[in-house]
Amino acid sequence: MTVARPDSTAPRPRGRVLTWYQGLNAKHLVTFLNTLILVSAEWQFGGLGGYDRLAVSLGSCIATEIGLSLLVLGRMPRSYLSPYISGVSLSLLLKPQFGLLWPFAIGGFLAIASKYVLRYRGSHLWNPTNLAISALLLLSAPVLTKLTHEWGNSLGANLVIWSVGLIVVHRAKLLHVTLVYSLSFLALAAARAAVFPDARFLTEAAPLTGPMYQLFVFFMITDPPTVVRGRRGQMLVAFSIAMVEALVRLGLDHEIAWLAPLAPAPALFALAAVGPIAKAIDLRRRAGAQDRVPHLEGRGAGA
Amino acid sequence: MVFAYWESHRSRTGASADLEGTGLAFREAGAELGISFWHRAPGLDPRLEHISPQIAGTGASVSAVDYDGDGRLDLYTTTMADGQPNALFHNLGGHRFEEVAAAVGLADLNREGQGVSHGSIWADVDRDGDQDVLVYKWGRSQLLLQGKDGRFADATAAAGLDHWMNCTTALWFDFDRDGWLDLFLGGYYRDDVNLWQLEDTRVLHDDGEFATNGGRNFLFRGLGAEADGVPRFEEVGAAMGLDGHRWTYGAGAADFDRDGWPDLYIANDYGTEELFLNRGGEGFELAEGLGLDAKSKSGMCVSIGDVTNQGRLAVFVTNISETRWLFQGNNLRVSLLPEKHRMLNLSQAGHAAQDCGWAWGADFGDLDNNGLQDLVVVNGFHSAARDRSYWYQMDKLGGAAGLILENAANWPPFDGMSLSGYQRTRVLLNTSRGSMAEVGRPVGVDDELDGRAVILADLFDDGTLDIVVANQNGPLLVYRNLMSDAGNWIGYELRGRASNLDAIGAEVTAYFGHATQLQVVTAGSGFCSQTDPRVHFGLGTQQQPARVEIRWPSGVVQQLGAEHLVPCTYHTIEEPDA
Repeated sequence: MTVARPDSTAPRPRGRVLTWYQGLNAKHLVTFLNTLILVSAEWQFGGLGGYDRLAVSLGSCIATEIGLSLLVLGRMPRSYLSPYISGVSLSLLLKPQFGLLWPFAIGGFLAIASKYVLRYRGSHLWNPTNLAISALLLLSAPVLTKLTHEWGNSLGANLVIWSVGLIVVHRAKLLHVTLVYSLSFLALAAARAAVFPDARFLTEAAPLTGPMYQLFVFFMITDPPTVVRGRRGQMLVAFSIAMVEALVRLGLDHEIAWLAPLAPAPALFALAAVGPIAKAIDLRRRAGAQDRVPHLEGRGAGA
Repeated sequence: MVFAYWESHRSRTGASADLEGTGLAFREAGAELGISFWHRAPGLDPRLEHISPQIAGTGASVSAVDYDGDGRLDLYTTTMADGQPNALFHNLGGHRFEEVAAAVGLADLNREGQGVSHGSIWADVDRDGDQDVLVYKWGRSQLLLQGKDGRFADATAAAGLDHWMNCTTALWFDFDRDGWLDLFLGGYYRDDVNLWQLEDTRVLHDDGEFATNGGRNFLFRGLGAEADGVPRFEEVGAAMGLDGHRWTYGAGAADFDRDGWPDLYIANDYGTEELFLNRGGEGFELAEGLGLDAKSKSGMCVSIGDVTNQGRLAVFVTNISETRWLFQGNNLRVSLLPEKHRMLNLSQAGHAAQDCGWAWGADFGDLDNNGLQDLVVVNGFHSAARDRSYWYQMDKLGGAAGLILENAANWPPFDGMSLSGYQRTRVLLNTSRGSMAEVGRPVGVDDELDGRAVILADLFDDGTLDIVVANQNGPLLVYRNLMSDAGNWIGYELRGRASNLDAIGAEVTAYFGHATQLQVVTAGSGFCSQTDPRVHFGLGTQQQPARVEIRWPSGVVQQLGAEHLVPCTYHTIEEPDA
């Protein structure tokens, strides 16, 4: 009979959890959250509106990824996580007329193709899903809109998604992006409410408690390939997105007619406008910095 | 995008072609007929004033009834403004109507503290040979029994129906088939909410899809009349499984599962449609697995017809569609319950019935007598400034947490904005067993008022169905059917004996050509409306039906003889002995 001896090298339970948590791959976590939202939205609320929508958007994203990878890179894609996340997000966020499937097919194509086509200095500029939805909302308004109340308005479900979402973005080291955007949105909502005598802070802040914003703050503005480098820069961009959105909303509250096409989703359009500009500036600065490094080194060496 | 353009416009292309040769045309003729009525919204608690178009967005109603038994169809319509009278338009014949509500005691029903009218359902409730009426309200609904002198007297308290609720739909049916009519009342705002004296402003839905904080539904079983001649009712909603708290907007009764007992189909705002199957008159069971709960929408009305000419009931439930904002789509479901336990939704993308805007009431009827039931849908929520929309303001709360959403104080003020305003009434011609083409403008039905209730009724007994529309904060419109040649048609007025005297729930099946068309006698359907109590069949190219069968509520099945197959007239059929 052998007697088990305590293993002095084994981590304590708390440490184990921490180690496991730290070992989690951020991309896999995002994928997990994405899937969790998909499953819970469909199971509890029928929020998807039919599995055919999911099949078409996933199929379109994956087919486009394979096709363009073969065409542009000459090889099969190394990962399918990106088209998977885009496909799931599209199926959740797009709400076309009942029975229409082509928006999901077109949206999937636009999202993935944008990664290959709309590039600057070797990097894509737009969050693929954001670009696809923004383009479709602008061009297909007669038959298409975005997610609003299709998942119900349960505070409990919101809290669950927010809790899991916050963990995921924390693990992805992008919590500050979500927090800065959210806090900026709230602060600017308060400012907008102060401008109009009949407006209330709760009304202006209310969109942040909805499902579309959950997807927005956890998936779109924190999409690693399209955020800028550096914590301060990321925070500045998150604030800028909130600021542009606030300006659009302010304009809509003042009933500026030419802003009307942006009314269904000011946040999505703000990201579509600010995100690529910020990314392009960031890429340009990085390229400039890289160009300068050998020059400076040489000068220093020579000094 | 090309796809979007094509999808949104393709239903128009066939409209003119589908209309050719029918001769179908309408003209709004209210004024020349002597029908002049304007619905007005009520004043509410000042804390609701900023969103009064949202809170008091319904209430225009119309019902068709021959209240005095003179063989001509009359119209009763309601308003909601405190102290304003409802109207009863007595059909004098010769295309003239006379307003007689005050003379018979049906005008002054919107009294302060008692609530305001939302609609009316008519039947011979006390089985004394004349029509009685229940005027349902936000407040205390009233049962008014017609006396021998033709005047109506309030019997609400004696009947056991005195109760405050914010009732938006009601219907008479005989769920236990005992010959005494039973009453379903659908609640919208919570029962404890008095919209004129709020305790607090948390009166709205707390969920856009699955709200269950609405008013309670009630089912009153008719117990029969006492010695005083007043029928008594007992509330059995909870015991029978019909005491939901969803935001019920519409209801219709028919035997969907063909077991001989009338079932109840309910349309809920901020919720799914519900079909409650009647289990032998002893209870209702929510039908599962039909796909009705697959997508929650904003159900407004329940209209029952037969669009496929296969002897299958069809249910049309209206919803909201608005460019850029929301695409719920209307549902046109055909019952395949008996054999496949499902409801087939014909209203797919591109179907003309799917997107009618912010749709409210609807009614089936064969407008051109070609043998296929058509559909008229009224639309539009609030028409104010044409170039100012409330949708963006409302969308701020669209996905918001329920605690924020339910509080009226959090809703942005309308401030003169429109919300899906100026939408056309849709006339949908059934072109082939459920396929439809929209022909409203070409046939002369082109108003852009905020329609709520609509009925198709043959007001002039000429075999063509006219269209009556009750508009919110607007006039009652009567579109007279001007078809020069009504073609072949046949109609029936049923009189029950063992069954309830109005034969509510009776099924009439006409066999003509290759068609088998099923129609049900109802007392309360669509949205805040009661349609023509008679059944009307267009016969198309057929001279007369080959066969007509009536299944009475009592269970008696009757085959009509040759004398009752003569076309182009209404036949009065009395229920035979078992």
